[in-house]
This record gives sequence, C-alpha cells and structure tokens, in this order.
Amino acid sequence: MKKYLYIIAISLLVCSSCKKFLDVQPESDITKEQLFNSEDGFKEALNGVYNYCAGKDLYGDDLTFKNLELMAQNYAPSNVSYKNIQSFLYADAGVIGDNDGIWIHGYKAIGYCNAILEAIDAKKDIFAGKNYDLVKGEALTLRAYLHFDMLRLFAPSYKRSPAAKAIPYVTTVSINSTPFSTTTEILDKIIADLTAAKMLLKSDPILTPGYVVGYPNKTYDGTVAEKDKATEISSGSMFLQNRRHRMNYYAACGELARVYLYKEDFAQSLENANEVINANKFPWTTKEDFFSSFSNERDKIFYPELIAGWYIPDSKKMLEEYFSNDNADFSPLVSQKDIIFEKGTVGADDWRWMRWFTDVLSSNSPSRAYLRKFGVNPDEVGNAHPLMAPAIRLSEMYYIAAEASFDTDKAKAITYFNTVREHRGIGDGLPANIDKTEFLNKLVAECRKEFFAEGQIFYMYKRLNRDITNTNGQVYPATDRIFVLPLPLDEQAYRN
Amino acid sequence: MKLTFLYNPAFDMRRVKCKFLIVMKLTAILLLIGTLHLSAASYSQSITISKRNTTLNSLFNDVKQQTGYLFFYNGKVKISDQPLNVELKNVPLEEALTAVLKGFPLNFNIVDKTIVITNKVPEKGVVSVVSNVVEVTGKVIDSKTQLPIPGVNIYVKGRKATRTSTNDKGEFKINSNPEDVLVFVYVGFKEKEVKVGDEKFITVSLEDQVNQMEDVVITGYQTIKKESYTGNAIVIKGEDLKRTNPQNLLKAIQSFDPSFRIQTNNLAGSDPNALPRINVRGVTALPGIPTGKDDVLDRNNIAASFNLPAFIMDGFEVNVQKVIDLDINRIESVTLLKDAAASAVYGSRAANGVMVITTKAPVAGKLQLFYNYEMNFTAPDLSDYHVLNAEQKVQYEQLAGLYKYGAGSNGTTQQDVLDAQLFSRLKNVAGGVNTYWLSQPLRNTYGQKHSLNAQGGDQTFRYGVDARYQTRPGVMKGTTRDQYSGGMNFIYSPNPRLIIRNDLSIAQNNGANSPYGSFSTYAKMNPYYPKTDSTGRIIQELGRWSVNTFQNEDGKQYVEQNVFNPLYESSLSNFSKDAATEILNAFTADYKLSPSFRLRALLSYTKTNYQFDEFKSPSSNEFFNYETKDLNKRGSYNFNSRATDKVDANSTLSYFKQVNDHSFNLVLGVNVLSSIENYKAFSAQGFSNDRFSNVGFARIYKENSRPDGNVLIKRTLSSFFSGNYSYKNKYLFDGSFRMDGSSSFGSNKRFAPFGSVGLGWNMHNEDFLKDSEVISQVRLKGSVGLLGSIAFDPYLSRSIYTYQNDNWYSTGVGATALGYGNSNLEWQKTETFDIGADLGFFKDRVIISPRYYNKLTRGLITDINLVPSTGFTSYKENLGDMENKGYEVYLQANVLRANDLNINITANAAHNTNTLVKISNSLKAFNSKIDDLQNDLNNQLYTIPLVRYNEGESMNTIYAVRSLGIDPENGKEIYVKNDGSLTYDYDVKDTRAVGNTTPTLDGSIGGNILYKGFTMSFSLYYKFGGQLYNQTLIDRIENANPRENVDSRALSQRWIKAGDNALYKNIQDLTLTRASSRFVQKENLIDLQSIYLSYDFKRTLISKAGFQNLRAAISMNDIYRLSTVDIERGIDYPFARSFTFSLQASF
Repeated sequence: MKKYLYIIAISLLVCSSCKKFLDVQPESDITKEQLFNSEDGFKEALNGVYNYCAGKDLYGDDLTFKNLELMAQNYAPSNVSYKNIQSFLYADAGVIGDNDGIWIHGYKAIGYCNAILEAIDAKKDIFAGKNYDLVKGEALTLRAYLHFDMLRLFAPSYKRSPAAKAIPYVTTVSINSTPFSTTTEILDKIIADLTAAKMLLKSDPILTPGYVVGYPNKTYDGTVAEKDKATEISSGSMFLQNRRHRMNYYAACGELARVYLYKEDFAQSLENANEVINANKFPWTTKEDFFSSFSNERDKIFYPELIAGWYIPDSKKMLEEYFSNDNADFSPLVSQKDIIFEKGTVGADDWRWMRWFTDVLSSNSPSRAYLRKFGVNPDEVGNAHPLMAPAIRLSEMYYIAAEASFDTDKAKAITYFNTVREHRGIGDGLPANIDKTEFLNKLVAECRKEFFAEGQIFYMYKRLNRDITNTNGQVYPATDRIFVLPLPLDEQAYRN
Repeated sequence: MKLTFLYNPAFDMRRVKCKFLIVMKLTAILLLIGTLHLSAASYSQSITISKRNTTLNSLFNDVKQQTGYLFFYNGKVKISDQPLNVELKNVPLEEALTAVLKGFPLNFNIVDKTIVITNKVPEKGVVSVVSNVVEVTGKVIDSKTQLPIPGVNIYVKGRKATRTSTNDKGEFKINSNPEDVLVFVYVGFKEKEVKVGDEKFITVSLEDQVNQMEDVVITGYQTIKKESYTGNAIVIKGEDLKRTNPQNLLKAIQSFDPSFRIQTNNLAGSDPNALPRINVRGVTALPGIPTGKDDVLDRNNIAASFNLPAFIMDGFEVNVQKVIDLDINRIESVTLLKDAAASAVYGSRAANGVMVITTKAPVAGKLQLFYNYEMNFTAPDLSDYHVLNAEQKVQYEQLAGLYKYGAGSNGTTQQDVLDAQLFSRLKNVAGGVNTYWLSQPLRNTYGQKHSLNAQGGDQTFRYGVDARYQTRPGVMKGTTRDQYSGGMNFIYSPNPRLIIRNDLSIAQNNGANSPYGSFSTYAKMNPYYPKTDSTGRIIQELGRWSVNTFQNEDGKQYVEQNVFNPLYESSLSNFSKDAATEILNAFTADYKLSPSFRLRALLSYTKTNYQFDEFKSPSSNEFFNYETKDLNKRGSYNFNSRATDKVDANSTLSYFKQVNDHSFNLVLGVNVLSSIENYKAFSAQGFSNDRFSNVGFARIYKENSRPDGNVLIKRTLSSFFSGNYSYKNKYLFDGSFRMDGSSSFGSNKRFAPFGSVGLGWNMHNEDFLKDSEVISQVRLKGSVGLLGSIAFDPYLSRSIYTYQNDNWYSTGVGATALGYGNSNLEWQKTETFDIGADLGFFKDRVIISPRYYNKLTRGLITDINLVPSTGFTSYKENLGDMENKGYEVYLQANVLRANDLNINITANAAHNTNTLVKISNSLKAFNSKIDDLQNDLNNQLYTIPLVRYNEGESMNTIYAVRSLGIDPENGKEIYVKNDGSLTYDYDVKDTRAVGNTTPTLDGSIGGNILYKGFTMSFSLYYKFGGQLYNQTLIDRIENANPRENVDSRALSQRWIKAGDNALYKNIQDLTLTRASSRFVQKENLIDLQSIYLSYDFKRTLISKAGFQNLRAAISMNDIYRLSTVDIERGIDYPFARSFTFSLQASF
C-alpha cells in the first residue's frame, strides 16, 4: 500500500511543471542565476564589486585613509584606538577587528569577482560589442589587485621570505577553503591573471584616441581645441564612462608594474610602467588647475594623473570629519608635516606642501596641520572632479620606472624621478652621481609626500624592508612583526 | 453520519432544552428526511378553537400559535383544502388533533414539541406480491435511557413506500418479509438497519447521534470517530471557548491544553494590538543573535514564526492575526492536533502542531435571527507596580547623594544650585504635589460587540448572512482595535450527491496605538513634578539634570538631561495607527461518487491590505533639542503598506466504508498554496506645525532614506494520504503520508516526505471488559512520525543579489550577493513519538488521559562559520538537534449529575523538558559573542540574562554570573568565579547556567456547574517549580536611576550602613549591576483566569417578547493572580482585568 502511494505521490509531484511552479524568483531582489543571465546583470555585478571595494572596510577608508596611513606614521592621533593601530598593537581587540575586517571584506570582494568569472564564459554570447572582454578583463584585474593587497598585508614580503606561507589565492565560489600558497606562487598567479586581463582589455575604449582624460565638470575657455576637451563622460553608455574609475587597460599595466617590482623583476616592471608613461594618456596636472582661485575649478588630487581610483561619494562625510579642525587624529603636527615634505631642503616650493595643509596654531598644544587634499565643495559649488580614493597614479609609474631602471640606466632613472618633482613645483633635481641607497632614500621620501593619505607608502616600506620611523623619533625595526598582519582567528579555526 | 462528515454540527442537545435547539433539531430532520415544510409559534398546552369553514392549514396555524408546537410533514402528505368546522374549548392537544384529523387519511405523532403529520397507512389495500408477508410489530427505545421513542420513521430497505412510524409508546406495526431489512430513522439518533427474521416482535434500540457528533476529531481533511482515532487531538467546542474567554480565543484554548502556551509578554502587557507568541510542546527553533535591548526582551518573537502552530480554518491555512480577529461566535469547534499521527497529514507545517478551526455552517429552515451583544469592561492592573511617592522620592534622592556637589554622577552644578533644586522639590512635596504618573495614561474602558446572524433556506439552498461590529479599546488612552466584518455564505445542493458551499467574508480592522507613548516612561516619572502649570497648561519640560557620564571625550562628559512631560506628547496630534482590510472567499464542492467515495474540491482566495501610518509632531519632545539649522527637519511620518494575495486549493478523494468488522476512513488529496506579499514603505520629515499631520505637508523624504519595497512569493505543492482503519472497533490503525514541495527549500531538496503511523487498542471493547461496571473505556495508543517546519526565508536557500540602490557607482548601479545560498538547505525535521491512554470510569463520568511525548527536532537551521577567505563568513545549514519531551495529563469528571444539577470538573497538567542535543560550531562561537555583547554597555544588554547555547542545556536556561548576595560589611555584591573563588569584580566570563524557567508542572483547573438555567464555570492556571529572572529587581532597584522614579524597594531594601543584611547593594552605589544569579527567583503562580456565569431565560417568560431563546452571561478575565515573584508586569503597556457582559438572543 505504502509503496503504491509513494508512486502516486511521486508521480504527482516530481514533474517538471511542479518544479517550475516551486521555482519562485524574488521580485525585489534577484537570484544569482537570473543576474548572470543578461549582459546588464554582469555589468551590475561588476559595478557591485567596485562599489564594495569603495566601502569603508576597504578602499573607502581603512586601506586608503586610515589604517595604512596610521601605520605609516603619517598622522599624530590622540585617540587610543588609533594610537594602537599606529603602534602596530596587533593583539588589541580594536586592531584585530579592523584587520579581520580588511581580510573578510577583501576576500568577499574576491568572491564577487569569482562569481562573475565562473559564470561569464558560458554566457559569452549574450554580450554585445566588446563588453565581454571588458567585464572579464576587469574582474580578473580586480581579483589580482585585491589578492595583491591581501598579500602585501597578511604575508611576509617577497624580499624577506619569498617561499613563506602567504595567503590563499581563491578562484572559485565555494564554502570549501582554498589552501595557502607561498608568496612567490601568489605573485605568479597574480601576474597570470593580470596578463590575461591585459589581453582582454585591449578592447578598452580608453585606448582609443577619442578618449580624452580630464575634468568632467571643467568649463573650458575658447582657446581649448575640441579634441583636447575631456570625453570621459561623453559615452552614451554609463558603463563605458569614467574608465579611470574602473580597472582599465592602463590600470592592469600599472598593477603589473607594481607586482613585478614587488617580485624584483625590474625588466618586466619597467616595461609595464613605460607602457603607461609612453601612452601619454594621462596629462600632468597644470599649476592653474592646482592653484585655481575658484574652489570649483581647483584640483588637489591631481585628478588627470589618476590611472585608476575608487569613486567614493559615500565617504564624503567621513572625510570631512577626519580632516576637520576638530579632529586631532588624522593630522600630523605642523613640525612633522614640515619634516615629511622636506621644508628645510627642497620642500618650500612644493605645491603639495603649500596647498594640501592648513596649519592651525595652538598655544597650549602642538600646532597641527589639517589635510585639505580630499576637501569637497558643497553641491551648490561643485567640483571639477568627483571624490576619489586614488588607486594607481601616473607619478607612481615614474617612481617605479626610476627604481626599476636605476641599476641599468641611472641617468634615465634620475630623469624619471626629476620629472615628477618638476610637476610638483620642485626645481631641484637629483645629482647624477647619487648612489643606490641615497637614491632609495630620496625616492621613499618623495613617495611619502606624493602618496600622503593614499595608503601606499606602508607597502613601500615593507617591499624595501625599511624601518618605520615615527616622527617622534621612535623606530619600528623592519620585521615581520610589524609588516605582517596576523590572520583572523576564524581563518585558522574553520579551515576544512 | 454524512452530516457530521460535512458540516459537523455538534450541539449539545442533552443539556439545554430550549426552543433554539429544537429548531436546530428540526432543521436536521429536514436534512435527513427530505422536502419537509416547517413552521413555528408560541405555545400553551390546551387548545381553544372555534371556527367555521376553515381549512386544515389554518387550523394547524392556530394550534401552533397556541401551543408553540411545530408541525411538519413531507410533500407526500396531502393536506386537504376541504372546509371543516371546529369547535374546541380547552381541549388537550392530542384530543384536539384526533378530533380535527378524524375525517382525513392522516396520522399524527407528537415528538417532543413537534407534531409530525403522516399519511395513514391503509390497513388493507397494499396487496403484497410476496405471499409470506407478515405483520411485524415491535418497539423502538433509546439505548441510553431505555425509554420508548415515538415518531421514528421505519421503512423497508429497497421499498421505501412500505413505511410507518412509531406511536407515542414507541410501538410500530409494519408488513414485511422475513428477509427484509427495516430501516429506523429518527433525528438525533443513528440510523439503524434491522433484519426482520422470524421474530414477530422486535425491540430496536437507537443510539444517540448527538453523542456521536461530539466524539469526532476533525483533522481538516477528515472527520474521524474519536473512538477509533490514535492521534492526540484536543477538541474544544466554540461554546466552551466563549465561556472561558469571550475576548481572546487563543487565551481560551490555553485553558484546555496545557501544552499550548502563549508566552507571557511582559513588554506588551494587554495591548490589544500586540501579537501573541505561542509554543506547542516546547520551543523548536533557535533565535538569532540579539541586536539590542528590545530585541532580546522581544526575542520570543523572533522564534515565533518558527514555533507557531499552523492554523487551518475550514480547510485552508490562515495567519495568526486572522485567528485573533475571528468572531468567537462563529466558531463551531477548535481541534488541536499535537502528535505525529494527528498532524503528519500537514507535513512540513506540522512540527508545532496544527490548530483546526471549523466555523458554523448555515442550517435550513425558516429565517432565523441570532443576535449577540457583548459589553466588555477593562481596567488596568497596576498591582505589580510599587513606586515611591513624592516624599519618599526626595528622601531617596538625598540618600543617593544627588544633592551633593561632585558626588556620584553629579555634573558640574554647584552646591548652592543643588540646594536650591532640593528645596524647590521639598517645596513641591510640602505643597502637596504628588503626581501619580502611572495612572495618567490609563483609563477604565469598555468595548462592545454586536453580532447578528441570519440564516435560513431549504434543503436545496441554505444561506447565512452575518455582520459584526466590535470595539476593543485598550487601557492606555487612545489604544483601540475596532473590527467590522460581514459575511455571506450559502450551501447549494441541487441533488443529494452534490453540495456546493461558498463563504465570503469581508473584514476591516482598525488599530491605533496610544499617543501617550510607552508606559515605562510613566513608571519613571518623579512624583514631585506637577503635570500642569498654574494655568492648567501641560508643561513640556519639567526639569533638567546635569549628569557626569564619565566619558572622557570632549563635550560628552557633562551633559544636560531634559526631563520631558510624557503627557505633553498626548496633547499633540501624533498618531500611530494601522488598518487592515481582508476579503476572503472560500468555495467548496463536494460530490458523492458512490456511497463510500466522495470527491471534494476547495478553493480559497484571501486578499489583505494592511497599512501603517505614524506621525510625530514637530513639537514632539524628540525634536526638542534640534539645532536652529535643523528646525525644518522636525516632525516625521512613517508609512508602510503590505498587500497579500493568497490562494489555497485542495482536492481530496475520500473513502468511508464499514465492511463487516472492518471500518475504513481514507483520504487522498493534493494541496496547492501560493502567496504573494507586496511591501512598500517610505519615511518623510519636516513638518511645519502640529496641525498639518497629513504626509503631504512633509517637506522632504527622511534624510538619507529612500523608498523601500519588496515582494515575497511563497509556494507549496503537496500530495497526501491519510487513513484510519479499525477492526471491530477494537484494533485501531492510523497512517498518513505527505509529500511537500516548497519554494523555500533549496533547489536540490525541493520535495520532502513526511508521515506517521499510529496504533491503538480499544480494550474496553474486548469481552473481558465489556461488562465492567467500573471501567467504561480503556484505550491505549501510540504513534511515531516525521514532521517538518519550513518557516525560513527563501533567500537562505539560494544566492540572492541585492542592488545598492542608495549608492550607485559612477558607472551604474551595483549588485552584490547577500550570502551563500545553500541549495541543500532542508526543512527542520521533527521526529515525534507519542504514547497515551484514555481511561474512562463509571460510564465515562470520569476520564483520565495521560500522554507522553518526545519530539526530536533535527537539522535546526543554524549558522555555520566559514573560513573568511571563501568570501563568506557563515552560511545556513541544517545542523543542530533539539529535544522536547514531556507529559500531559487530562482529567475530566462529571462529579454530580442530578435532575437539575450537573457539576463537571476538568484539570490538566503538563511538563516539558527542552534540551539542546547538538549545536554547530558557530553556535559555540556565538557564546563568546554573547559575552561581548553583554560586556558592551552601549547596547543596554548587561542586565539581561542572555541565552547561551550549550549542549545539554535548555533554551529556557538562565545564564548569569553566580552571586552570593550583598556583603553586609560594605554593600558590595560577592560573585563566585568559575574556579570557585570569591570576588567583588564582575567578569562576564564567569557566566554559567544559574536557573531554568521551565516549571515542574503547569496547567489549568476548570469546572462548570449547571443548575436549571444557570451555568457557572471557571478556569484557573497554575505553575510551579520554575524560576524567573526578576528584571525589575535589577533594572528598577539596583540600577535604578535616582533621577527617575523607582521601585519602592530601592528605598526600603538597599544597603545603607555596615551590618545591614540587605538584598540590594549600597544605595549610594551608582555603578552598574550586571546580570547575576541574585535576581533568579522561584516562581510559583496561581492565576484565576476566568469566571463565567450565565442564565437561560425560561421560554414562558420571553416568548411573548418574540424571543425563542435568550441568554445573559457575565464573564471575568484575569481576575486574580498570586505569584511568588514580585515583578513589574506590563512594561510598555500595562496588563488589564476585564469583565464582559453578554446577551445572546434568537428570534
């Protein structure tokens, strides 16, 4: 009897139409299957990754303005929790929370890339034009970019121990954990992804001559030729606008230059940096734009020089708070600032030293220099460019090229170096007979100025294995203790 | 029996002799016998008629009017129009009828108060073709009383023309063959077939059918005789529920079943707009991590969706709100199905039991009107609040050091200002200011209910119309819940094989929350504050305190705290209200394929529109401190709406047959359920003034907000079988099987099988017990089964991407995944095991039914932590087992049965043990997160004994740090660390299990006394052996903020000087007290929940006024409560006592 009933029940139910009936698609959200069933879905998923990366736990705050800058000793915080970050107290609960958050969010963003990459090849046919290449190329670049930053944070540097256990390189969407690879392995995987991405991104509209980099909201006077006006938001497809807000072709090159440099493969590094430099796509910011007396025309982040950056209008309020005159946590002392920007030697004419800070003198406590680099005008006034967290800059390409070519072509290296200085208002060049150590010292000092509050200088200290000196004079020796962030406990506890 | 099968009328005809029920009986006759006509009137016993040239019909009318006796006869009875003259004066009824009918070929029988007219069977003239026709005589008696039954219809099976009926002595004569089978039919009794045989005189005893009707279990798909049922079902009649609690159906059910528990909601109290939380036989779901104080106190709510039983009304599923809003007068019966055998046919919805509600169907007959009136008085119950009066309060403040410069948490206020403050307060006290804030937002109130029901029709078409208006004001001023509902139903039966029924009902529910805000605010107001100024205007700001918050950040250490008058809010045009409109149509078609097979289809459609509106005036206290630049942001409006469409379709094929000793009751069916919920919401802000409360006056949407909306679709598809078989009514077998498919299940586990098997033995039908005087019933039964619950969000089983609509990237909107959708996710499975017995003594005057059950819920849906590098931190998995086992005992006793007096006692008791058998890795990690939560002062959870998850412990375990009490030397609390050492320092890591709220036994005792027309009944709830964490002690005594009013024990029982053996710490100690075992108390409770008294008016008194039936009743609810724990009950809304007067009339 029971068997008979089973048969009836099953025959009644296990039919395809019933399954369809039960396969309810949510209306206000979307299932993964549905999302990856259209070109728009892939675009939305990709935008989602950028949006996520621009969040506060990644490039919208921690990895750009906060943690990495505190660790680079660029601020003089008064709040204990920020002091703990600054002092590399990795066992402190607050610091653990931040670091775990970076790991969790970083890998979550990687997961989002993997979801796209897992689905995209089967759906190649649904893409119009070169969008398949763009989406896949960017997803690969993002995955490599995120892994590289996880590597630079949570694994010993290549210089110190290239064969050490590093991080997992995750390429699948699964609840099963991916085993750890060594630093060298990870770097190779990153290079593989980026190289593949570079091939795909040959379709990037940024490579077309019609794509002119510049300010989206600039009012040009009559003298500017039509072909020189920025076209970054002129595409009819929103998805193809603002290529520099996403991982474009040059971003892949720039990231490769970074990675090869980290791996000490100078030739490849130089080649990639030069590809960006020689493209002449990214114009140097003019003095007029930097010093403009109209706040809505003023550009303090050298916007045209950005090869890639994160669009972060959501961080506006937070940045205003960070760098306001009430906040004694995200500002160096005036004296520290003057040291960082070498006021005593080459710094006095430096545009950045002149315009990035407001010194507020105080009688009963040390005077502080408040950062104005990321200031945003109210909506009524507007800005020449949107609020961005810089990811890769043109100047970094020059610095990379300088470092990568120093051993082979010292003169060329000095030229690369001096070019950036010139565009920052520093007339003094490096002496031609400079030795490697002094050159690196100068380079690091210059990078620290250039990347102030951009979360890059800590990586450089780590890559070059340099001690980190607090402006009070305290030295944190170059060890894995400060350079390697501990893994989250969950990463060890729930491994399967 | 077929009637029972379909409409289940279950009126108790034995007890209440009133015309109303006779009408019911009559209509039942109509159903049974055929096309009969009916009339009714008032009455006396003898007849006086003097008429010439009149007709039989008009004479019948006269008789009816004078006696109140009803006539009935079927279409075959020819009432002649032949004129006749009648002259009767005070002639007894029977003589009068004999005289009147003398000239006609008609017979009459008087049955009860009904005169049955039948054709005279011609004494000769029926020429039988069969030669051996003999005249058979006999007598029909009631099997119970052994008294003769007059008016019983008798016919020969297969030859309906050969018929007769019994005379007033119950005797009959009929011509038949010995092979013939005689069929005996009489309303209220089971139809009986008797073979003629050779006997010349047959005595036939008929069994009471009413009894039969009561003893059935309605599972929603089947109606099964209780005698042969092995499941565990509690059947409660609508009438009994109404007696117990006319205002609240769910509370009433609680008195009948100790395992059906409405969780006491200490926050919402008696708020008529709050939804209850129910457990049936213990908790079967894990709550998530709490996010804040309200969340925790409200935690049962999270689990509620998992723990709620399924509600089935007339065959289709409804939500709990519908059950609460249901008119109790419309309920025919409620059946609670608890074990596997009973509820497995509901498969994935059954794990927490099933509540089957049947509503009354219209009965045929002349137009009948039923009217019900209720007047419900409610009064707030403040007996658990003991706050300080003005004088004590100032004294307490002085002791707490509030007027000493620099002491405790005092701010920067200088001593002279503090002195001035103190003296102004003392002046108020001396001047007689002693405001009793608690009573300010409260009222004694009354609500009323009118419900009107009209019904009538004939055998082919019956109809019913009902309308209701009900108000349920709450004891906090401004709280209301008004209901208007109307309905129409009809039953159409074009031929005896087909019955079509349609029920349409429309209901409107309007609720409003009190503009007075949370009651807790009033409990905290200082009595020395006056409500109004000297001109009688309400003061908005009553005072200001300068407070040291001990936070070192600039600008946060010393803050000014305003004391606002909560009454001020009520003077504004604030509102918070909701309205719901529901349209429900249920259609049933029932077709009899053959005598034993019937096909039934049911389709119901429900549409609900719910809307919530909340306005906060710009003058509200909330916006008091807005900066000048934000003044145009004051005032807020919240709106949300939810539209639900639900279709429930059933189709069943049932088989019902008795073959010799085998009795079958089987059903096979399919069920399709689909619901769509559409939610929309937005918030606005910026109102110009208090008068403009329409959302159109808002300046902008709420800052940083955007419109919200979502659509939730749920579908299930099932097929099921359920069968009941009994052999000789001794050996019983129940089996059911259901295959459920649900859109909520993971795509790899779309279909789930559920089932159960039950066995039973009616020992009393065995020969060795059959003749026992003492033991009248012994039934042993047991069942095992597998049930499920699917109440989880559909997105858990699939990967869902959400759009970041409020934060577009510069190149378009982004979508990110919510989490890992586990496509293997399954329903929670509950394995149940149930054994029980029904023991009846002295003809079932005493019935004891013990039960034991074990519910093992496997595959609890819990979070599993993942390696974060997977891109996910956790996902949902079926991991974790929870066990609920326990016993229940029911006692039913007819203590006294005399002519006019009948006393019944019922009692029940239950115990449930809940154990976490297995938990997942994340739940273990969860406990340390709970520790962190408890340590964090910002979320206000430090005083609450948050639940931890430990294998072997229960969901009802109380977790806190062990405490030895207050050190008499210094007034500090002594804690016991986990290593056994003693300390003054609280460490959350020392938290361990310190108690359990599970009572050793709880249940209800009830009874009813019937004396003539009076009925008295009561219900009493008791509970003992459990523990309770007394939140009042910690929040209102220990952590009492001396700037607010506090429990009086904060003044009288705290430690003041060395040597005090106090229960509570140093009165000057303003540091925080955290959750410790010191606040765990033993809880024993007796709660007199209801008393009911009714009187049925004698018909002689009321008939002249046109009533057929009139009953007046009063009932009182939540009357008296005796508890060993003195805790403030009803934090946000007070509890209330209620008193209901009701009037029931039929015309």
